[in-house]
Amino acid sequence: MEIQSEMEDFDEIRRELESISPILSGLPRTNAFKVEDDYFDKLPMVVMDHIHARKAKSRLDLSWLLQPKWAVTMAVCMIAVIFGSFLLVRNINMDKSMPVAEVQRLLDEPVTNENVIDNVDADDMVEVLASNEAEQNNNQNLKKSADKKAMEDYILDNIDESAIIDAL
Amino acid sequence: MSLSDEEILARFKEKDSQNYAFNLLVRKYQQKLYWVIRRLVIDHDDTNDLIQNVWVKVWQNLDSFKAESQLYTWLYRICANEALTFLNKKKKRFLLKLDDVEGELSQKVENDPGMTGDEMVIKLQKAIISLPEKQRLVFQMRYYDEMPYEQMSQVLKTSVGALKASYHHAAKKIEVYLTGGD
Repeated sequence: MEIQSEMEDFDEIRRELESISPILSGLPRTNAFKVEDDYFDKLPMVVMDHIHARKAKSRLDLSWLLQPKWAVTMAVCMIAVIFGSFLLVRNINMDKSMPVAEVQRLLDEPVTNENVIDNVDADDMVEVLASNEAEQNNNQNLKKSADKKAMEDYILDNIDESAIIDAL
Repeated sequence: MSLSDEEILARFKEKDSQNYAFNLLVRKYQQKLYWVIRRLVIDHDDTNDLIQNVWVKVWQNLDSFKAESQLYTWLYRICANEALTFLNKKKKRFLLKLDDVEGELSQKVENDPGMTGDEMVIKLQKAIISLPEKQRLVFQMRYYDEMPYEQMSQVLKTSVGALKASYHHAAKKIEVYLTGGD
């Protein structure tokens, strides 16, 4: 029954093609392609070997890492990560050490007016300058009086009194 | 020894006879499935790779085959998908337009040492290659494999009416190609 049904199907297919294209239906249905004579004898064994190889490979397999291109890629990535980490750590350390070194330098240097003035308030600075000026004026006055006295002492020490009286 | 599909499936389900049953299955359908792929991709080496992939997929999924369709229909579907996927990947990988893929396949038909020297046979193959991929598959299923439309519908998940129309147009195009139009 099944075979008869199949034969009817084949007849129907051929009649259909005749109605669509008589030229095509008239061509022999030869297989244009060829294959090696023993190909299909060997294929089942090749297929089973392939399947068993796939089953073995389906367990966690990291052998792809050993392929040259992946090994080189991994090596380059690791070098980049190590180098980047080195640079990052180095920059962090440099940033932390700067203030400490600077403070130490400041501590080592003698405190001078130059350094103090940078951190003094403007109003305070005016007051200081004013008092400095007053002090300087005072010092100048003192210097002037000291100079006058010195001159008097010089005259008295070096010039005869009788000469002065005669001159007067 | 030729077993029915049901017997093969039953033996496959038993661990002890799994390899034996699968071996029988391969021997039963290997030629049909090989030619399904070969007619689509033309090249034997490509076909050899693809048919191995097909059988691996069959092995992996045979346990879950639900017998909603015939086993051969199911196998045919896997083959067709594998071949069409291969052709699509080839198209994308080399950034070729469809015409260029056709040109490459036509060239293979001409240069294949295994081809018969019959000019009309070679011309017929080139005519088939000129069809869109899915239409080519429809034509080959009906013309070479003499598959009923109902079975084709199960393989391609397309209506019988659409398949009849597709086959009709494919045959007409080939006729035009053979009679002198390219």
